[in-house]
Formats: sequence, C-alpha cells, structure tokens
Amino acid sequence: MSKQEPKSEIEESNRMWASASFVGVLIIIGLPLWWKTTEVYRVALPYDKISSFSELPSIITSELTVLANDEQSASEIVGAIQKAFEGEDILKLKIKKTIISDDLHRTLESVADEQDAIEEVGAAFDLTQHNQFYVVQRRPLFQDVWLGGERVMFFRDTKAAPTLIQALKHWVYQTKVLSGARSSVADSARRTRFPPGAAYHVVLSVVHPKPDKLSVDFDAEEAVEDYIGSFVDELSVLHNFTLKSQWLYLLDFDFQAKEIKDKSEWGRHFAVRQERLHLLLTSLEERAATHVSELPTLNLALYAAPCHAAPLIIHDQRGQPVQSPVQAFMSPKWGGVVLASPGQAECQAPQPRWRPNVRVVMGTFISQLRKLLGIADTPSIPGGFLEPLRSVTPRRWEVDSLLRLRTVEQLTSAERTLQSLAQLLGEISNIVINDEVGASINSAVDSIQEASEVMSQGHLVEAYRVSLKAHTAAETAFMEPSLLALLYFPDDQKYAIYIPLFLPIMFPVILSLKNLFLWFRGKTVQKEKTE
Amino acid sequence: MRILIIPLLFFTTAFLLNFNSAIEIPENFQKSNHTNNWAVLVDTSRFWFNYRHVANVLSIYRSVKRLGIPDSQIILMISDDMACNPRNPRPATIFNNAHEQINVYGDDVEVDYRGYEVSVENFVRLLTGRVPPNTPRSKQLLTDEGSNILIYLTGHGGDGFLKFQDSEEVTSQELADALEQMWQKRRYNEIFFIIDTCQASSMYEKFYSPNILATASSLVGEDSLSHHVDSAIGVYIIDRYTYYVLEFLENVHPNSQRTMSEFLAVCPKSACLSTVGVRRDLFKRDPSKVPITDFFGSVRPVVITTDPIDIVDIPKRKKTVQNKTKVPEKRNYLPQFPMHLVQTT
Amino acid sequence: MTCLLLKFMVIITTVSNVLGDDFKEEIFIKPLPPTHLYSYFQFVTLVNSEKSFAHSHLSPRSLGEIISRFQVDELHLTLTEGQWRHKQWGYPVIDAAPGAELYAWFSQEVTDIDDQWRKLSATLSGLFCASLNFIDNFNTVTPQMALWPTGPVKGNTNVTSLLRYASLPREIVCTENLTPWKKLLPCESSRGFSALLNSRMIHNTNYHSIGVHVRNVCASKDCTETLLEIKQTVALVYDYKIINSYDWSFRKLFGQGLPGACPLSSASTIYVDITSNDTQPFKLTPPPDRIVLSQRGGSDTKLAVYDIKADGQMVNIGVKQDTKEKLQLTVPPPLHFNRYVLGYGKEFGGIVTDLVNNYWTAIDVVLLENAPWWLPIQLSSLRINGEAESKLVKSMFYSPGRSRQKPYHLELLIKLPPRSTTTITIDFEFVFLKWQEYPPDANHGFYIGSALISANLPTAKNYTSIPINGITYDSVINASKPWYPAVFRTNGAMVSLPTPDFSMPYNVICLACTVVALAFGPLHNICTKELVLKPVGTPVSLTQKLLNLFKRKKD
Repeated sequence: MSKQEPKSEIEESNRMWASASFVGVLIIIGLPLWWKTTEVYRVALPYDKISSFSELPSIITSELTVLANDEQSASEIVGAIQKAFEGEDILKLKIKKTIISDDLHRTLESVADEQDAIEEVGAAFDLTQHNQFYVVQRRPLFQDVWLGGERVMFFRDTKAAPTLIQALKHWVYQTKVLSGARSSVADSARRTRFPPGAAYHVVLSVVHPKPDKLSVDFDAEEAVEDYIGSFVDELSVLHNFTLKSQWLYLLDFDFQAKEIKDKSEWGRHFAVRQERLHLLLTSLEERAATHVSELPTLNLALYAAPCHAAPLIIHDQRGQPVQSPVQAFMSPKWGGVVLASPGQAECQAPQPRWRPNVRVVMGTFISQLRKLLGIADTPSIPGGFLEPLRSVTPRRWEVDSLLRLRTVEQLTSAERTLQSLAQLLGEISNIVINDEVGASINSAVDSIQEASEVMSQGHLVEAYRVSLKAHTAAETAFMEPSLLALLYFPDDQKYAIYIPLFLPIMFPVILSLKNLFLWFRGKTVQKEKTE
Repeated sequence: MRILIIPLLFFTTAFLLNFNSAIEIPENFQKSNHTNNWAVLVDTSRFWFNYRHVANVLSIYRSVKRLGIPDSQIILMISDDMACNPRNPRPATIFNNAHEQINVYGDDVEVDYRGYEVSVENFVRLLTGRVPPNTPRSKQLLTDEGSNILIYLTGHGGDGFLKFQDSEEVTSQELADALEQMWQKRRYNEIFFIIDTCQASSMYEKFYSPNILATASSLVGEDSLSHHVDSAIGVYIIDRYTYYVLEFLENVHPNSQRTMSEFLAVCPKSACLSTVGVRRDLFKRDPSKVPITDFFGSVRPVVITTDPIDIVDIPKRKKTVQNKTKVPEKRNYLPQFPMHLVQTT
Repeated sequence: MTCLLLKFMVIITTVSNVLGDDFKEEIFIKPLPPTHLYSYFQFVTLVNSEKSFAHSHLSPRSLGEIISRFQVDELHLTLTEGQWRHKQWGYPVIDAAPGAELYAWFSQEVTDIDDQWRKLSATLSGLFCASLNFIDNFNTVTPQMALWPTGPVKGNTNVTSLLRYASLPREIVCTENLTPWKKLLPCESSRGFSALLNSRMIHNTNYHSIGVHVRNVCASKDCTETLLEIKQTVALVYDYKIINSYDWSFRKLFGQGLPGACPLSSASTIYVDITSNDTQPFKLTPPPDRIVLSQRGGSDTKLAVYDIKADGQMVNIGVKQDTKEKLQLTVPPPLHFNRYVLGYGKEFGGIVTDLVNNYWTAIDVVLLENAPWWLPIQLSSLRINGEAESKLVKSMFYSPGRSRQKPYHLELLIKLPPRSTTTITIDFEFVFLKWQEYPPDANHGFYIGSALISANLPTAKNYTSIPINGITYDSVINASKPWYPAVFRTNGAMVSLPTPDFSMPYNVICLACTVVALAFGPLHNICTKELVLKPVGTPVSLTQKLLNLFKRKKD
C-alpha cells in the first residue's frame, strides 16, 4: 500500500501538471494570442477633439466703418447697428466710426452722381480689401439708403438708420442665409446652390432640333469665354472653373405645347406648361454626357425652337404666360435652360437663318449661374435702392458674402462629417482604421480648429481656404475606400466558426480547472469514474 | 314648383360634392421634401436558368425610366448577360411574358455594373460611397440629403442573406450597416426598399436607420415563386411578385395619384402564393398618403427665371497669350510594319 | 428642289468650315460567298486639333474630354462578338479581337503612362458601359513590333514606349454598349445611317463589332498641321439563313429602310461590292448613282456607289439573285491562320498557331502571343515547324510574366515561305489561383485572348482596308501600293484551369471541428484522468444512477 501511495502521488502530480499545461497553453497563451491576432487595426482618433466641435466658436468677424458728418450721428448709427447685430451668433461686426474729412464732405455733397461719389470715397479709403464695408453719409440722396457694386453704402441721415440696418442685414451680410448654411435642415438657398467644392465645370449646350430647316448662327465658344469667363474670373478667389460648350443636334423633345392665338408678330404662341419642363432636363442629360467629368457640372442649355414651333412661351401653374423678357427656367443643383425662338422675319426667308441675341441670352444665364453658385436674391426694402447690375461682374460685397457663406458651410459640413464618422466608427466595431484615414482625420481636425480661429479674426480669404482644406480632408476621411475592409465579416459568422472549434476544447479544460485548483490547495482528490 | 326643387337639390349637392373633393385632393398627400430621385436596381444571379431575375430587374428599370428618372440617376447592376446570350433565341431582347408583350430590355438600356463587377464589395461600396479611386461618375451614387432612393434587389436569398453570383452572400446585418452609413452621411432623404427573393423579409429585419420603407415578396420561411415558363426559351421568365408589380406600374403615369399603400398591396396571397411583407415602423409618413411618384417618378424642381441681367457693357475676356510661338513640326506616317527588322537580316 | 439642296449644302459646309468640324458617314456592303454578307458602317468626324476640346461642335464632347484629359494621341477601342473567319471571308476593313480590345498611344509629355492607362480604361468603362475597369497592369502588354500608330508622329518619338494594349476576351457586347456609342454621333440615331442600327437586328448576326478609333491625320501636304479624326465603326456579318433568303435588302437586314442621310454630314455614301456580279449575277435596286472600277494591287473590284441626300426620302437598297443554282467556291486569301490549344489534363498544355501562306512569294508576319499571368508559357518549348532554332524567325521579343503583375509577352517576326504552312507551338503550364481570384463561374473556363498577327501583304487580294493616309472609304479606289500592311486577330481559346471545390471551406470547418472535438476530449482525459476500478456495491451518486438507467436500457 505504501509503495502505491508515492506512485499514485507521482502519477497524480503528472496528471495535474498535464492538465495545468493544457490550461496554460490554451487559456494563458492561446486566448490572448487569438485576441491579438483577430483584433481590428484601429488607429487612435482624436475623439475628444471631435466631440468638442460644438463648443468651437464659429463666428466670422467683419469690419464695418461708419463715416458720418458729425460725432453725434456717427454714434447714433453705430449704436443702432450694434444693437441690431448683437443677437447674431454667426457674425460679429467690428464697427469703427470716423468723421468725414471736410474735403471729402464737400465733394460728397457736391457730386451729383453716386458713381462719382464712390470714386471719391475709393480715393480716400481702400475698397479692395475683402471683408470690409463702408457706410458713408451723404445728404443729397433720393432714398434713405443707396447701394451699388462697391463696398460702400450711402445713407442720408440718422433717420435712415432702420432702413440702413435692414439693408445691412438682408443685402450686405445676409444673416439669414448665413445661419441657414449652418442648420441641419437645408433651407431653400442651400437647396438651390451647388455643394461646396474647389472647382466646377460649366457646360453650355446649344440644342438645335431641326438643323435642316433653320440655321442658327451662334458662336458658343466665344459667348462662353467672354461672358461666363469674365464672370467666373471674378470668382477665382473661391473656385476654379472649366468652361466648355457643345452643340446637341436633332434632340427631339415634345413639349406638348398648345397653340394659342395672340397679338404678337407671329399671331400665335405655343404654350408650354411648367410641369412639362423637367422632362426636357431628362432628355438633355441623356445627350449632354456630363458624367464624364470628374467634378460637379453646371449645365446651361440654349434651346433653339424650330420655326414651326416658335415662339415658345412658358405658362405657369395657373395657366398664365410668364411675364419675363426671356423664357428661361432653372433647376436647383443642375443648371439652367433658356428657350429662344426665332422671329417671324427670319423664318419667312428662303433659307431661314437666325442669330440669337447673345447679350440677352447670356444675361439670363449669368443670373441663373449666380443663384446656382450661392449669390442669393436681394429682397426689396422700402426706402432702400439697390443699383441694378449692368455687367457680368458680381458686386464686390456679394463676393465677400459668398466667401463668408461658403466658409461657414464648409466648416459646418466638415464638423458634421467628422462627428458622424466618429459615431459610426464607434458603433460598428469591425471597421479597420488605417494610418491614412487617421492622418486625414487629424489633418481635418487641425484645419477645423485653425479655420475657426482665423474666421473669428476676420481674415476671410484665408479662412475660406483653410475651411476648404478641412472640408476636403473630412470628405476624404469619410469616403476612404479602405474603411470597408472586414466590414462584411459580421460577428455571428465569427461565432459560427469559433464555437464548434473552441467549445469542445475549452469544455474539459475548464472543468479540469476546478480539480487543479483543489489539488494546488493541497487536497488530493480522488475522482472516481465508474464504468 | 316642386318639380324644380328636385333637380335643383341634385345640382347643388353635386356642386358641393365637387367643390369639397376639389379641395380634398391636394391635402390627401403628405408633402415630401425630397429634391431628386435615384434608383439602385440589382440583379444578383448568374447563369441562364436565372433569366427571370434579369427580367425582374429590367421590368423595374423600364418602369422607373418611363416615369421620369433619368439614366444618370439610375444604377443598374446585372450579373449576367441574357439578352445577347447565345442561348437566347431572340437576341437583344428580354421579355417579361411568354406572349412577348413587352421587351423590357429595350433599345435604350445603360447597365452600370455588369458581369463580374456585381459583387458584394462593389454593392456595399456603391451604397456607402467608398468607391475606389478612378471610378467614373456614372458608377457612383451621388445622392445628397434630399434624395429619395428606390432600392430593388432580386436573386436567390435565404434567411438573413442574399446570394451574389452563386459564390458569395451579403447578410442583412451588412446591408443594415451600409444603410446606416448612408444615413450618417446624410446621403438619402427616404429609401424605399423592395426585395424579391426567397425569405426576403429577413433582409430588412435588421434595419435601424430612419426613413426607410421596406417591402419583400415573401416572409421568413416562405419561398417566392416564379410566374410561368416560356417554352421557346425553356426557362421561367419572370417572378410572380415582380410580374404583378410591373402590371401595376404599367398603369401608372407620371401624374398619377396612386399611393404607396396601393403598391404595398399589389400582390395578394392568392396571386403571389407567398405573403408580401412590409416594414413601416422606420418610415415617418403614412404610406396611404404618399404618392407613388415620390419613389418611382422623378421630381426636379423647376424655378422660372424672371430676372435676367440686362448687360450693358459687353465683356471681353483677355485671352491668355501663348507667348511661345510653336515651331511647326513636321510629322510623318510611320510604316505599319517593322520593315527595318526584316531588311537587316 | 436641287438648287435648294445645293444652297443647303453650301450653308452646311460653310457653317462646318467656320466651326471646323466635318462629319461623313459611309456604308460598305460586300457579299461573302457563298452564304454571308458583310456590312461595314463608318462615321468619321474631323476636328481641328489646334483648338482645345472644351468647345465641340459635331464631335462628341465626352470623347474629346477624355482624349485631352488623359493626353492620348491615338486610341482604338473595339467591342466584338463572334469570330471573323479569315479563310472563308477574306479580310475585313478593320479587324477586331473577340471581346473588348483597347490600345492607345499616349503623348510624350505623360510622366506615368501606366497610371494614365488605368484611369483611361476606368473612364471608358463608365462611358461605354463595359467592364473595361478590369484592365490593369496584369493584363496589359506593350507590343514592340506588332502595332504602329496610324497617325503621323513627330520625328524622333519612341512610340513603342507610349503604347499600351489590353484585351478582355470575356467581355460581351449588347445593346447597353450600342446605346452610348450611338450617343456619340452628331445625329444620334434618329437620322442618317445610324438609324439603321437596330439592336434587335444587328445582334442577330454571326459577327458584330462596334469600334471607336481616334487618331491624327495630316491636314496639309507637309503635315505640319494635323486634324483629329474620330471614327466610329460597326462591322456586321449576316448569314443568309438568319434572314431566311439569299436576296438581301435594308429592310431584311436592319428592319427598316434608310430614312435619308444625316443633315449634318457633308457626304453620305453607300458602296456595294458588285465584283461577284460577273460570276453570280444579281440585280441591284435601286440602280446606283455610279459604278467605279478599282484596281488595287492586282485585284479588280467593282463598286456601286450611292450618294444619299438628307431629304428624308426612304432608301431601300436590295439585291435579287438571278440564279440560285450556282454555288461559288471560295478561294482562300493569301494568308490565313488557325489557333488551338493542345494537351489534356490539368498540368500542362500547349498553344498552336498555324499560319498558312497561299501566295507565291514569302510574306513577313509578326506574331504577338499574349498569355495571361496564370498561364505561364515556356520559351524553351517554342517550336517553329518542330525546330527550336528556326531560320524563319528574323526577330524575337520575349518578356516573361510575373505572377499577378505582368502577362507573358512573346513576339516573333517570321518570314513565311511561299505556299507553306508554318506551325508555331509553345507549351504552358497551369497555375493554381488563390481562392479570391476565381471568378464566380470558374468551371466555365478561362479565356485566352487572341493573338495578333501583323502582316505585310504583297497583294491586295481580299484586302478591303483603307490606306493609312485616307479617311473615307473612297480612298481604297485604285490605291495600289507596294505593300499592304494589315493587323489580324486570331480566334481566342479557352482552357479549363484546375478549380477547387468551392464548398471546401464549409466542409473543412465542419471536418476540422468534428475531428478536434472528437480527438481532443479523449486525449485530454488520457492525460489528466486516471482509470480507477470500483468494487460492486459501493454507493453511487444520483447522476450515476440516471446514467446507469440509460445504459441498462441499451443492454
């Protein structure tokens, strides 16, 4: 009996060490090894910085200089403006007040024309800086407030203060549109304009359905280069534009226009219902081949109505013809179309030949382009006079306003993108985050913080550039193709493989843990297994 | 006098009824705030005996195109070629009916992903927008926050998965995650999800993103059945659910007043032999008040321009002067055969 | 009426000349005795290449944008279904490999040609709805001797390094490729010759191929100025059995007559080859505007020419055979070839290319074999007529492939002896692919693309190609030259690679888990437990009682 005792003890200790080695290999070495090798590579992301975006101040500072004839009216105006704008959380005005020098005062009073007055002001102050605006008092004004194309607004006296504030809010600074750029639900201006970007393509398509019946004399290249080229050159601080043109022949589109007799030179016109117009866009898109470009494209189309269907007049939803010198319509985020019809004299000729009025057509396109690029409409204010546009160049303060709008929009979109990306990466745990994504995110976060700082200091052009960088980096980070790896190896499939493999292994090992534990405690346990 | 009262009463009641209904119709529909429509139509089956799946997806493609969605906003994925397949006795056609009623392939079809390109990875990349670089725009889903998307999937499926090309599957969890990523990036306004496979409703069970209305041709545990065989071709040529859907959509025109709830009830159990499943808890609006053209038609807001600019000074853009005068270089046609190599030996 | 048309043509030409684009459309029809008919459509737009492609008039802006964005000098893309049988049908105007074939010469200023090539094929895949995005480095070659640019080049450019060639033999062609192709035409498909291209009729043919070819052509005599030529082609081979009659007409071939020419084209011409009228007479209606006799390199061809006007009058050209009893024997062309795969089993195989020279002088050919990376061809096994070192081979280029990176590229310049058959054999072995690399229908087989044969023909027999400095089809008339270069494509081949059982992962998981489960338990028990004998009668626990119950029942 005693000989067996040490033998059984040795055997028992052998058994227990064997069991312990199973446990060691499987649980102590195997489990962490498996965990390490199947973990998803995720670069550390600045989640705290991303979640603190909502605390970042996103305020644009803008300089406003008030020039008045005397100290009292200056302070009154300044006080009124400050009170009106103190509720704005997106725009901060740094208002300076100056008394107009005597020379300038005399010239302003004596000069008859507002344009000359602006030149005088321009001689005294620098009007070419972005993000600055001047409000100048000038007594001989017909209206309370006068605004032209330069960064100068004239007002008559302190009684014009309310009109002045209205003009500043709705024309110059467009605070509603600016706060609309930050809202989560898109307002109508945001629905109309193209999404922010560094560059766009503009394509002018001349649609000519019946080339054998009518010959259209229109130099599309020259029109696009001169008119639209000069317009987009003014916006070169914001975006790069590539201008293209093409001719689309034999595009048969049935307007289903009803012939209505009237008193025009033709004696009739063809009424096109507004509901039918969007189908023209569908058939234009089939031929215009804009999907070949890699950038968003603004489509402009000139439809040359054939003689037998001329003139085309758009009838609105109530059945009334549209009162406009040009028959044209626009589709938000797509582009614009002008329906041009030849005159009766051109069609009656033996070989019909028609030259569309380039000035009128391009003027319509420019007005559509302005809306599509974000230059918002200016509502009419009683007592205020806004000089109508006479050339393709946008007004200087419109460009400033667009810079502000795009900066805010890009910054907001970058913040939102990063926040949703962070939330997404937190929700779906098996997306790989590799180094490039991490770098893009970090660069976007840095750019956002820099942009918001620069914005609040008032350097508008730099703020725009940095916010564009932030927006692009955030989009790149979100749309990174590598973020898809391992997404389609969901958890239930993983468990379907692991459980049949590991469960039968772990089951006896874990059960033997109890015995191990007791044995190491010193008690010898004899487990009997009856057969 | 009394004789006159009756027709008078009749006319006034008719007038009043008319008047009331004239006011009621516009209020019947809940307004949608979408600005454009897209469609993603996917057929996932390969091989000739799955002809019916291609006919399914092309039926929907045809309806959606007819109701106004342009090709640039439709992504069509077809895994195999049936129309120009050597086994097709009627080349370049795919019919939905043995009587050759409608050639759903048509003359104007543009397939964006075809053949081996239809894979789970490409499908998920398309939905989430994470396409590889150099992908052309016609193969990307360029939707924004105002887009209503119609997603239609057909093929062979099972409980919780959809088979792609007989070699891989997409699970319902992946699909739900992909749609959630779309929602996070605000890439859709509302989605209408239709799936026509066996046990189809399992694919939408795991959705958790808002604004999705989903319908499936069969519930979990049921099979979706095909409609009929064309003995000239020798295969089943269309599935029941899509056959009745196509019949319904053929009667819809772009100004139709039919609602989504009519669409969801298009195939009763007697016709489809499987129960059509619907998931509406993620959809905010009431389907009986949503017009069918919200998803199948195309809305493109049109704004009439009434304020053209009266240009007085005609602009002239300064042409970038090409300062290097190009010396005209003489060019030659090269010989089309390497004679120099022949002559040396 | 005619003076109105004349004035109209003057207007169109002046407008076109002012804006610089010229568009011409042509059809060439040739009967291929005894039972086939070849029709070839060609739409040519000439654009002034000095101006940028941003502003286009008649040329397709999308194609111009692609050409300028990727700085492509010359581009050839064809999508083909079917094989051209050179032995029976002679030579086509432009030959094409079955499936998709794309090759391009880039401009000298491009720094990374491979990157531009990938981007070009991806963009073209979106434009033509074809899977050209599968073109990558592992299936692209740079032919050294077989292909040369057809447009004029500047003095000392190394054109070979600027060339990339790829072919996708598995690509199908259907209406979805024809639709965007038609949209590139200025008249689209409502007027002009493109109205005849009904997909239901043209896909019901033995061979159909659509192509886009862009190149420069000389504008002036000294060629200091060039124009860009955009040529869109369709080649169809009809079988009389499919149209159910030996008499053909436009209505039978295309489903409708021709509704007049395109108003924007400066010339719309139809050429019908009536050389066989002498041996097998037929009647051509309506009577042609003129008949032209062309002598080219020793062979005579008679062409009936129709000039079609854009006046909207329906034209239905047709032929009625006079006698149906005579059957014409076809004479094979001077050079024809055959290619097939040898071998059995899944380890080795061989590709054989037979080149038959029927002519009385020697013909020089360049044979380009392009084997994919998963089919390594062994250069040591190359045999020409059974010999390893053959005097027929004048020059050779071999570039071995690299797995998953480069295909195998072999080019041979061979002088085929007169009236002989030359057999070129090369062996290959099969490679195991990785799991993910198998296509979903791996058991269908894998396609080997066709070989390119570039020949310098001494005779123009059965030769219909347009000379290199010609633009329209009438430049073949009397275009005798000392040599007639042509590039042919052989038929492709299909091999069956060793494919695994794709249900294996599932089986392996089940098997592995079962084995592990069954084996591990007893192993663990043996190591850690001890068998102990227990005398009968000792107290048993409850669980043991239950277990014994079951055991007793079993006994």
